[in-house]
This record gives sequence, structure tokens and C-alpha cells, in this order.
Amino acid sequence: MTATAPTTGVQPVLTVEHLNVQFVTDEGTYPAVNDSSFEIRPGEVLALVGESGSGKSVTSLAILGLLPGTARVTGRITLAGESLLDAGEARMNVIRGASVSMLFQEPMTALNPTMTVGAQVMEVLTNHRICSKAEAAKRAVELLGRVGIPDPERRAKGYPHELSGGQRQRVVIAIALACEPKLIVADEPTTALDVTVQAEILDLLRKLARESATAFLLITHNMGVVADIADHVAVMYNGDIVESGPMKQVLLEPAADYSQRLIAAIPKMPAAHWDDIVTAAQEGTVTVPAVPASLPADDVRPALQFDNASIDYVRGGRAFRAAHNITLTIPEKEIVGLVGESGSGKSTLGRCALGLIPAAEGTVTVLGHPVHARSLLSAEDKAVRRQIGVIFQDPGSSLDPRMTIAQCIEEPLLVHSPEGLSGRQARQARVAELLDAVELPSHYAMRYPHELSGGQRQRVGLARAIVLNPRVLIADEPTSALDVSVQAHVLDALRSLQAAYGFACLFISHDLAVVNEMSHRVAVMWQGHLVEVGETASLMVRPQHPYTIRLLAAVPSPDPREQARRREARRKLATLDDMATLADGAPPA
Amino acid sequence: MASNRAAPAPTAVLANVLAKPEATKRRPFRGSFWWYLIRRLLQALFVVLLVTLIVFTLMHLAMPAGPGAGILGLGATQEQIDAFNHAHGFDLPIWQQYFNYVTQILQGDFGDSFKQNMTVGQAIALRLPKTILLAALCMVIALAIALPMGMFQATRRGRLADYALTGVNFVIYSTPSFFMGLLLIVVFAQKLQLLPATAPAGVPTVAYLLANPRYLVLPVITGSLGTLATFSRYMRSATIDNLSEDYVRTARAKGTSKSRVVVRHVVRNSLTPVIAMLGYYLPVMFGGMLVVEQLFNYPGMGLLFWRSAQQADYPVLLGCVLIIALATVIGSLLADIVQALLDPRTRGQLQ
Repeated sequence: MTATAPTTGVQPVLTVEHLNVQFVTDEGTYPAVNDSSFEIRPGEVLALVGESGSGKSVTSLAILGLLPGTARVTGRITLAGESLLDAGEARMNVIRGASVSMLFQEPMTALNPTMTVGAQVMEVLTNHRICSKAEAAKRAVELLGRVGIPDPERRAKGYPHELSGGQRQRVVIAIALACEPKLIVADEPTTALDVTVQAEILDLLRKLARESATAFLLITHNMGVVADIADHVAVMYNGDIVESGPMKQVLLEPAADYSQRLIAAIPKMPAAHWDDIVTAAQEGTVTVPAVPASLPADDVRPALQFDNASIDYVRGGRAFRAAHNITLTIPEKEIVGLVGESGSGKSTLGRCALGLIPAAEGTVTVLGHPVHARSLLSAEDKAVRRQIGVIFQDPGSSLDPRMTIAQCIEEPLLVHSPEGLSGRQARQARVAELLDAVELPSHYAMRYPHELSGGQRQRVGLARAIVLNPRVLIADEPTSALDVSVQAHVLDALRSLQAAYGFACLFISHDLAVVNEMSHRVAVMWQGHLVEVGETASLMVRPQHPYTIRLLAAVPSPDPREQARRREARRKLATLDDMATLADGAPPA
Repeated sequence: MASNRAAPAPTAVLANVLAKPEATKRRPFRGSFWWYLIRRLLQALFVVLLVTLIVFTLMHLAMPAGPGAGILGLGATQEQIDAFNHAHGFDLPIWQQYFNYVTQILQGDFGDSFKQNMTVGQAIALRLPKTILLAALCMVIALAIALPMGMFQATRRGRLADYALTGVNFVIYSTPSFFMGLLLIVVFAQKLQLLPATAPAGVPTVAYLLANPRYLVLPVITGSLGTLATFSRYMRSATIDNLSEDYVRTARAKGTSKSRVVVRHVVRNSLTPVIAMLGYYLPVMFGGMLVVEQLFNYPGMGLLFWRSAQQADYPVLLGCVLIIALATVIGSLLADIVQALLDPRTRGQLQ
């Protein structure tokens, strides 16, 4: 299938025609990309979207000629009139870095840990003999400054581990920009970053595309990122480009079956009242909300309650406070979403509720009973633990690879041997019941985790979490490792289980859209503090706390119209000094 | 309004976070490099003491009546033996004997040899430099071949050259060094008569050995082969690990050629764990020297250790054990420090 951007008279920078990639292994030949064609013009951003295994990363590596030796590539890839597939290795070394460069997904590992940041930027310049070594050192510092690294002279002499993930990605961008390439291939450049950092990196990329007429091939699974910076979109599925066209057309009126399903599976967020929010911010009437310390209604019984709880981590003899004075109530039969960026302390709260780390101050109670984090549990402690289920982020590593699915689900029953479920037959019946509840076929009971897909494993995780019929479920990023269509199914399963069994749930996630779809109320954490708690419907459209506003404005919306509003709001809010000053200057309501 | 007074934290917190000066705090002494070094040295001291205690106890168990009978020979009367044991303090309770021994060592006195007409310190001073010479030569030669070889294999992983070298490696690795040494003696010393099979009679000096390197050839080959096989395997797997790192892909995307990526990026990152391994390898090296020295009659620590064990030369044996224990703890301490210094990620934590 051919994806052609509307002709604008400008010659395309990159033309890919009938690209086929196969991997030849001892077990056989696997097709990865089938007959793909697309083109990109100067200054344009083409987004190649799809789920894992769709062939989008293979396409990007094929353009740079960096596929492993087992790949067979046919078709035509033309960069500025030159056929890349016919270029030899020596010629490709001249092209790579100078005419086409690349950004990668994992900024944490993309840089050499034992080489200074400056030397790594210099290398691309000296490789292509752009300038002398002394000149390259100067240019490297300039480039680091241009991509927004503070104090670039000092940073150039430092090592990558001294930089944050976002800063490392900026360094990789500086490397990619150094020789002013015609095309930059960006493979999931913001996936590993927090949303506020992601928004900054996307701003930078958009600015670069506009300023330098560099063409971008953006590989991503995130439709919000697409809506934010892409001009054209090509949707890949199983190695085929199933649809392509202008960004708004594909996102708003997808034509192909698969695109429709993919876009329908994306968790949605309501359009926020950006005008009100920005006006309030401009007038300086944004207030720091008081976190409600008690329940809205007194007749609701709390299932899980943090009462002024502070949590410390001790490392090397020094304590680090990961959560400060948290007061939060999760009422029975309610899902409370807990959002925040990495390091905000949201997982710490979950671990504390499970009794894995103690609260240094304050108390944590489940159904009125305190949760203790001691290693030797009393009968009472065990009874409390039985009321708490947990599901983790990584469905692959949170199941024992040497236990069958039935054994995985059954294990909590053996540990706690609750009344009525102590016999072997009773346990087997319970396992069968739960497999049915999470919509897995009963014969999966005898399989091992590696035989299941990620989504199926996460359903097993769900079944295990509720096998003891807990009153509280802690779900820590349960769908973060999953593709969006699989995520939709797992979330559906969690929702129907919650409706059927009526447990309360602390739903921890970095993804505001998922939290919006799942929870009745939302709690927002920032740097170890609970900054805002509110009804989902109101918090998502009219956040109160400056940090929540900043967070919400940074989440890219898959709806291009809403995304345009968010970007505008972000721009206006950014001009108001910064959010911290805003928060600091805000008078209490 | 009341609800605000109940929860004033967020505003204050935001201001606090912004106002906090980050870099002005001085690092406390605990957790600094010197604190780390002192802690490690104390640990090392403890380990050395523990080793002497174990060996001391073992030897006491082997000769519960004291070494007098063994040293004075069969002709000695019981009175003579008792007198000898009493003169040397061997009739004291064991804890007292041990205490005396440790006190002596702390004063730099390792005691006198029972069999040789010299102090333990003299015996060791005579032998140790020669073992250091032999071990250092073995190490340098083995590494000079093993490191490039491991890298070469890693870049040709799964191809004929890699398989061939791996095969040779396994043959060397699985051949005991005494057997390898015997083979070399039979071929080069007896059949071809190219090289001497043993060190010259008497106790030659280091200078003599350096002036006549012929005597060193076969011992060095025997001693370095096992090390070569071990370290080329380490280097191969360290390089393979690094070749699949993301930073290699970044470097390739910059237009750096495959071979330049290896030279500029991969070598240093792969060397870090291998060089750190060297420290831990030091005691293994000493053990290897014991066999080699015995085989070629090379007058080093290994031979001294062996002879004194056979002759029940108590003080010399303890001295040797002490030296080896010291080498072990110093080696592992050096390994940790070198590794930390080579890797900028840990270097920051040490300083």
C-alpha cells in the first residue's frame, strides 16, 4: 500500500518504495515489513504509528542501514536522490550522522557511560570532518546550549550519568542535529520520559523542524504525540502500512479497520476548560487547593486509609522522605486513581499499603486495622494482609516462570488457606472461576507464563490479585507495559471484576487518560506530596493546583483539536514566569 | 477557610523546594572515600587475622604435642623434646601461643625457621621477589595476548575464527598446568633440547634470572596459559555484552564505522570489569605459581611453601600463609578501587 503526502511541488527528502524486510533465522524466514512506501518532504513530520511488532522500528533501522545481519532488505530507499540500499558500508558511514541521524527510545542507555558528553557530541563532527577538533569542542558546547542544556560548558566535561533522562535525550538530539542532517529518524523519542519532560522535548523537536527545514520520521505508539507534532501519519499493522494521510484526517476520521480499532482503544480525556484555567492563571487567582482530609460523606466506610502518613527510604545510613504527611481515603467499592511522575512517591504509597515498607509517621489502615511492615507477621497482621490484593506493572517478571498459571493463581490460597477454600478441589474450583472471570480459557490453567501474551499474563496477575477476595486492590501501573489495544482489554477486565466483586482499588498510574477512564476520584502526587484530590470529572476539566494544571497541559491528547488547545494553554502558562512562582504567589482561597 | 489552615503544606512546600540550595552541603565524612578506605582496611586486617588463626589451629591439631619431636628427629630423648618445646613456648596453652605469635608479628618478627639457618623474614625476602617476577611476567604476557584475542573473538562471534579460538581455549583451560608443564619439558627440554627444564642449582638472584631469561621461558609459558584462557573468555563476554549496548547503536548512527566503535567506545567499557577481575585473580596466581615452581624447581615462594609444609617448618609456613592472605585482601581492595576509578558512575560516589 502506498502512502503519499499531498504533492506540494517540493522534492521529498526521503522516498521509501516497496520496502520489504525479512528476518532469516535457523527456524525460518519471518517477514517484518511488507511492501511499504512513503515519502517525507523538508520540514515535514511523518509519524509512523503502530503497536509492538508492527514493523515500525525495523523500517527506521532499514533507512539507516543498521539492521542486523539476519535481515534481508529489498525495495528502494532514496535520500536526496541517493539510493541507500545500494550504498556500501563506507558510503553509509558518510551518510549516517551527516545526512540522516537518529534519536532513540532509551536516553538512559543511549550514551556511552565512560565518555564525556562533549566528546560524544564532538565525535559526530570529527567523523564527518566538519571541522577541526578544537572547533568541534566549541561547536559541541553551542549545540548543547541550543537544545536547552543548562550550563553547557560544564556539562560537556561531565558524564551522562550526571544528567536526567530528559537532559540525556537533549544530548542525543544535539548529536543528531550536529551536522544539520536532512532527515532525523526519531524512534519513540519521548516514550521513556515523564509527560512534562516529554512536552518539552516535543516542543524542541517541533521548533527544530520549523526552523531548519529538517524532515522528521517519528516512530511512535502514542497518538497524543502524533497529534502534537505530526503533519502526516502512516499506520502500520503486522508489517503493512494500512492507512496514511494528513494527521487530522487519520486521527479524526480513520478509514482503515485497524486504525479505527486502534484509535477507539485509546483512553479518552474530556476537553478541559483551558480558557478558564488560563484566565485564572493570568489574573493570578489560581489557588493551592486544600487536600480534603476527610471523606465527602460520613456514611462511607473507608477501605484503605492513609492518616498523616510519612514514608522514608533509608540508604547508606541516610533517610530520604519519599512521602510527606499523606492523608488519603479510599472508600469501599471505589477506584481512586493516584497519578504523578516518576519519583513522585506514588508507588511508595502502594508499597506502604501492602506492608512492604513501614510508615515512619502516621498510620495506614485497612478496614480499620493498622498495616504493619514487620517481617514476622502475627495472625492479625496476616488477616489484614489477606484483605489486600496487588497487581504489578510487568506481567512478564511478576509471575514465576516455573509455575503453571493455575499454581500462580492458587499460591495465595496455600499461604493463607482461607475458610472454605482449603481443600484441593475447592482451590481448583476457585482458580477455574477466576480464569473465567478474567476471560481466559480454562485449559490455560496448565500452561506456563511464557506461553501467554503480555495482556494474558496481566489477566493472570489480576486473577491472582483477587483470588483471596480482598477488599482492597493495589494496582501499580498495571497496563503501562502493554500495547494500547491490549491495555483496553485488561482495563475492561479490571472494571468488570471490580463491579462483580466490589473491592476498593488504589489505581496507580502515570497516564492521566487511563486514570480518567478507570477511577471515581483522582489524587495527584508531586515530589512526595499529595497536591490535589478530587472527583475525576471535575479534576480533569478544571484542575486547581498549579502542578496539576501543568501536568494536564503536558499530557498530549490524541484529539488534534484538544491538543492544539492544550499546546496553546501550555504556551500561555509558560509565559507567566513559571508554575512554581505562580503557585508560590497564589493567595490561599 | 478552616480547611486551609488544616492543610497549609502545599504552598510552603513549593517555596521550600525552590529555595533549597542544592550543592552547598558538604559531604559528611561517613560515606566519603577515606571512610570507605579505612573500613576496607579494617576488614582486611580482620581477614588476615582470621586466616592466621585458622592455619595456626590446623597445625596445632596436626602436632598436638608440639613440633619438638619432628624437628629434633628420632634420636632425641623425651627430655630433649620437652626442653625444646618449653624453650620455644610450645607447652603453653594454644591461645597463649597464638597471642604470642600475633604480638611477634605486629613487631615485624616472623620468627626463625626450624630447618633453615635463617629467620622467616630472610627466607621470604629471598624468595618473594622471584615469585613476583615470575607471576608478573606470566600476567603481562597472558593479558597481552588474552585481551586482544577476546575482543577479536567477540567481533567475530559465531564465525569460524571464534569457534577455533574457543576450541583452543577450552583445551588449554581444561589441561592441568602440571601436565602442560611436563609436556613442555618433554618437547622443548628433552627432545629438542632448546631450553633448560629447571632453574640453575643454588638460589639464583633476580638479576641472574633477568640476565639469563632462558631459565624463565618454560615456567612463564606454563604459568601464563591458564590465565590467558581465563581472561580471553572474560574479555570476549564483556565485549559481547557491550557490543549489544544502546550506546553502540548511537555511535553507529553518528557514522562511526564498526571497527572505530570497538576501539573508541567498546574497549574501555569492556576493560572495566576485566581489570577489576585482576585483583581477585592475585591469589589464584599464587596458587598457580606453587605448581609451576615445584615443576621447574624455581626457587620462589611456592617452592618455599611446599618444602616447609613437607618439613613441618612451622614458622615459615605461617609466614607464607600470611603473605598470601595479605596479597588476597590487598588484591581485592585494589580491584574495588580500580573498578570505581575506571567507571565515572562510581568515581563520583567515591570522591
